[in-house]
Amino acid sequence: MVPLYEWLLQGEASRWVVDAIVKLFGMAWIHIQPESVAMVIAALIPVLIAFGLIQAVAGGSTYIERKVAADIQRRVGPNQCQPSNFLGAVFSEAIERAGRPNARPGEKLFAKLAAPLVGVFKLLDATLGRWLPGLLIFLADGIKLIMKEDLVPAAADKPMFKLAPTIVLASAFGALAALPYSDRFYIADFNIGVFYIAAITSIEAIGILMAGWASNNKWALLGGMRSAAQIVSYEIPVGLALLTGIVISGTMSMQGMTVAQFGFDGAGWSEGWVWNWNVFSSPFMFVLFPVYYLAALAECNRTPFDIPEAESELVAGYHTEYSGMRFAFFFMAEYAMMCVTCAIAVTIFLGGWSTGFAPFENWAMQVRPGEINPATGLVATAPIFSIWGSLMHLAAFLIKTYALVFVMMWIRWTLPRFRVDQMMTLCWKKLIPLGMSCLVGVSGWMLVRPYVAEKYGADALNNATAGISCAVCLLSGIGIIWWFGFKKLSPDEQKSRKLLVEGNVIAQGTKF
Amino acid sequence: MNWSELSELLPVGVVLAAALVVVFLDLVIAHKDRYALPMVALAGCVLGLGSLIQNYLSLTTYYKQSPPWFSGAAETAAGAFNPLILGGHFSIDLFGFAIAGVALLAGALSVLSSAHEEDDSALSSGEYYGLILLAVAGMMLLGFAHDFLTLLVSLEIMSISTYILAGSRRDLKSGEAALKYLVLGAFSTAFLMMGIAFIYGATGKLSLSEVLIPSEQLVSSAFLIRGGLALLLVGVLFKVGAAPFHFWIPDVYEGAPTGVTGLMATGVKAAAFAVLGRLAFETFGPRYAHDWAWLFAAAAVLTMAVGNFLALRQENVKRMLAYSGIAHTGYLLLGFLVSPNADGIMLADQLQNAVFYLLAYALMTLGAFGVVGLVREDGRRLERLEDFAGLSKEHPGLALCMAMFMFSLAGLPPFAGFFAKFLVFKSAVDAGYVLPAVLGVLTSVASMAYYLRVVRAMYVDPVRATKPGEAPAGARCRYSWTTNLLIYGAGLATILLGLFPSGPTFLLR
Amino acid sequence: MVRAMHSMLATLLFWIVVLMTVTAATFVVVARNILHAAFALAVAFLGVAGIYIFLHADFLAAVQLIVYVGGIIVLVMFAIMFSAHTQEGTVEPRRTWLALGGGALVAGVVLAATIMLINRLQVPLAEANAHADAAYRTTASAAPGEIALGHVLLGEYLLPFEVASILILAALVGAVAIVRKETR
Repeated sequence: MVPLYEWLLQGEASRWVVDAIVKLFGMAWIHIQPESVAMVIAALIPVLIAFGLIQAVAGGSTYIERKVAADIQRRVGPNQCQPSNFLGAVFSEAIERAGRPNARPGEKLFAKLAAPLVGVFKLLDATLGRWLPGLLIFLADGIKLIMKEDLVPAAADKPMFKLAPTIVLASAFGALAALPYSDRFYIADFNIGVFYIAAITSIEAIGILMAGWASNNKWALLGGMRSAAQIVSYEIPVGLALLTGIVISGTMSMQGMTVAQFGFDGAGWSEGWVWNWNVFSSPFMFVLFPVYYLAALAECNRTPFDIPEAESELVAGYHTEYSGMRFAFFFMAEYAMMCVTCAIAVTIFLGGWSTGFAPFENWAMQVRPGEINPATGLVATAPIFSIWGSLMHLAAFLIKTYALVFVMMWIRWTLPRFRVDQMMTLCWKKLIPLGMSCLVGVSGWMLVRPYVAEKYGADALNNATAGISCAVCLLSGIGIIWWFGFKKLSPDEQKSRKLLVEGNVIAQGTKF
Repeated sequence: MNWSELSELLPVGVVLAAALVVVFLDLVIAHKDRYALPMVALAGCVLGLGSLIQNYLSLTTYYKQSPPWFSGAAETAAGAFNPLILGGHFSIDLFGFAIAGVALLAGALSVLSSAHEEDDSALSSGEYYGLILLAVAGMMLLGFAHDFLTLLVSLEIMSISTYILAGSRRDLKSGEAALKYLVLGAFSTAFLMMGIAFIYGATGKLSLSEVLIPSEQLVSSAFLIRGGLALLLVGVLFKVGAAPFHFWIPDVYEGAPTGVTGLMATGVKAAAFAVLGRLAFETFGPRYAHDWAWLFAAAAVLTMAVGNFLALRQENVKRMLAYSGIAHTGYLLLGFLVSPNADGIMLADQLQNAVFYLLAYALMTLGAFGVVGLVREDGRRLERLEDFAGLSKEHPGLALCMAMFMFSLAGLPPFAGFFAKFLVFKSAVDAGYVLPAVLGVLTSVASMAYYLRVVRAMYVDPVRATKPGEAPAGARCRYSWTTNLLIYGAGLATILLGLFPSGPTFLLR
Repeated sequence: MVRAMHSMLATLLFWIVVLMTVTAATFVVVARNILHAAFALAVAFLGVAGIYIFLHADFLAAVQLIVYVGGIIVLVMFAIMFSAHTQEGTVEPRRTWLALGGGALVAGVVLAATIMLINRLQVPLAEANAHADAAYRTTASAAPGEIALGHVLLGEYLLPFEVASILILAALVGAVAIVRKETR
């Protein structure tokens, strides 16, 4: 855990980089103050990492989104952008030119060098291209967007028009810095972690309003205002959920919240099972999880809350007038925000980077909390894992996050859009009271817990908690299944369901 | 912090509970039953007053002596009552009790004067009465507040409620009043806050009686503290409406609904004077009297002059009462001039005189605003001087009460206003500020002119016909028993307080 | 050496933040377009949040962002955009010589006072800074500010904190009173 100020100025995240660069520059150019160069570079490294992350996140997410959409709509989706016919095309052409009679020597040399690469692309086609067909479409998209003309409407407020996408992207970008990717791979672990993310993402609304207004287009303006209203409203249930997470973990640090879900016993042995995660720690948290998830969905302006960009009403909402890379900024910000909100959900409710399998966690743990860390000689407050444990944690975190992102996409291609008033009603009359009562409930739970633990023993309490949570889980599961499977339908509902099934049958029979 | 001491703030709790009840009651009752809302609000004020008195009595019987007038005057003997409770955030002393009492009275009377406004639906809603009660709760908290934090927050509770109340009649003038009040009020709060920030930054203390206790820090950062105190004083003078910062008062008082104007002129003013009093008597005290009292005296003289001479020119009675309110702020400021060699007893006496002034001023002003708020048969309010013509014929009792309020405001002998003025002039002279007191008497004589114009309009001026050829119509007013209760009650109290000026003091002993 | 560099970088960053804040605040005053002024105000708030970080008040910085930038500025813009004549949302300030002179005079007096103030306070401020810095160094890892803040807010200052909630209640009731439509 590091205060913001420290992190900002000391490059806490990459201290070893500072040392390395100091040594390097110290030998090479003595007249340059090596520390200053090192400091600047050390400050830039996390930024570069985050920049790479946001591109990877946005690119990967767009690909997944297209595939999910295609799957739900029974289409094929992207499958043409294979390594050989995308990147390999330029080499193939070079080889072809070298074969011509009037080929220049340079071309021949290039073809000779490129020949083995064609084989590499063939190999890539057979592996990556088979597992993830069309994966490189995000690169193609990126190139297309960069090459496109950057239009600025004549009547637009030009400086603001140009600034707005940057602000939107920067706010999502800043949030990526504080995510707990794994126990040892992270950019920064701030003392006010969750709160920092809530703060930095709240700037997004300004950027969107700016974009809507600066476009000087009534659809854009309406979209921007709808979006800002939506974000400001849904920030409240999100804030309540974050607050509850803070109450239950007793810390705002993202790493601290994750470690708090390990359920360490007195001897430093991790319980670390799935049911130690916050979402199962009390029935209130179980109710709060969907509250947070819905609110997060709305904060990302995703269907069914994509009212700001409702294409049937507002063309494309606040980014109607944007093209090229500026449009891509909005797009990247949207996907980054999805990942950020889902990562927060994972951290607060689903155990962060914990794998949820206690034997593995205990095996991978090198220094237990409370033991002396041999590297520093101090008593460790947080567990330290082996490199394999860290890698598994990274995988667990990404899998959990992308599972939630997948559900977001699933919802997008399944549900229709809310009306504005329905959206506001859901927030102010349903989610906020529910979130507020959950906050009170969890606080009460935290108050009562020690007394119960004292009277009946901690084990009994844990079992009872897990039992209640599982019962709630089971009951709601049964309820959902009953609602969709066994509920007696009204004639109208029967008709629409029949139509749905028939439509699916027809679609299944169709060949693409 | 000893949480059992929270019971000392029970009166505030009662008023807050009543505010919530009123707001929620409006949601569940039918529109025609809305007459119950002012009754609930009134009950809240009365219960709050009862709870306040009960608190006072139980303190007095438990400690065998009444609480001190202000916490600085507390005896440090073992077993004596320490007015600083709840970690020093609040001071339960007689000054606080008195301010809270005046606030409750102002709240109750302003509820009464609003209760007949059935025709104006915004003024009969639950939120309107809820906000009055919330404002009263803020004033009460301000009366007891003893550190900068609670002071600022209580001040804002009161101010925000009154900003909205000022605009609660949905017309242009009311809106203008609310906006002016909001902008200037926020401006003055900014001054206040800046001053508090400076002082806290320099001393690291928040308690009103502790910030100026001599220390090394006080010497090393004297400039910061002076700057802070100056800003603080500007903010407080703004809130009480003293002369260089009085410009908002006439427009706001004229535009706001009359019941709210009454509340602003009395309750808000009393609460703002509570801050001023605590600053003068506890923060500065006799120790720093040389440094700041000339500033108060100058402000007082300027305020009296500006208020009285501008009131002379007003044709609108509400506006005239607004300027008269400014003038009375000037007289009240005289009561807060502290002599450098004053002791605790003298300070307590001075404070007592100032509180008597606040009480008397509250009664007569609320009564006068009660009359001004009445609606004539032809739809006009009794706002302009000519609207009062013929009132003595149509409503002799009403006219008599109005005349009494005017005489009392002017400071004529048998009424409360006379003794109030006499007492503050006396405490100014006792403290050694003779010239301001003399100027006060002179301006007070000048003020007769405009107060008596109202009386002449009621008793002497002929009734003019509204339309040529029509028989002249007198000022026939619609008014209900609540207004009657308010006007005649305030009239009776004005005369009783004038005949027995030691009455309230006697009750306290 | 590295330590000195840190403080130099810190100073540089601090001046960047300060410059940003002051420039934006000036722009708020001189901007002709009212929405540009609102955006500039957001930037100024952002700068203030930055200054809070330099004061080791991380929690306050986050609150500043959430409340002012994410909440109040958005509402300000809403109010501007919802009110009439958005397109002509420019104000033409009357720039008379009197107003300019008066403003310059006031600004000059305030500046002079501030400089005097700083000159007076240099010694105590430096001491206080050193003291705070030392205290921060020793407790930084053990008790970060926000934990102490929580204890103080829910302990010593709980009562003013709760009184502040009455303030919010009053504002809430007031908001209802303003927007409520009368049904007769």
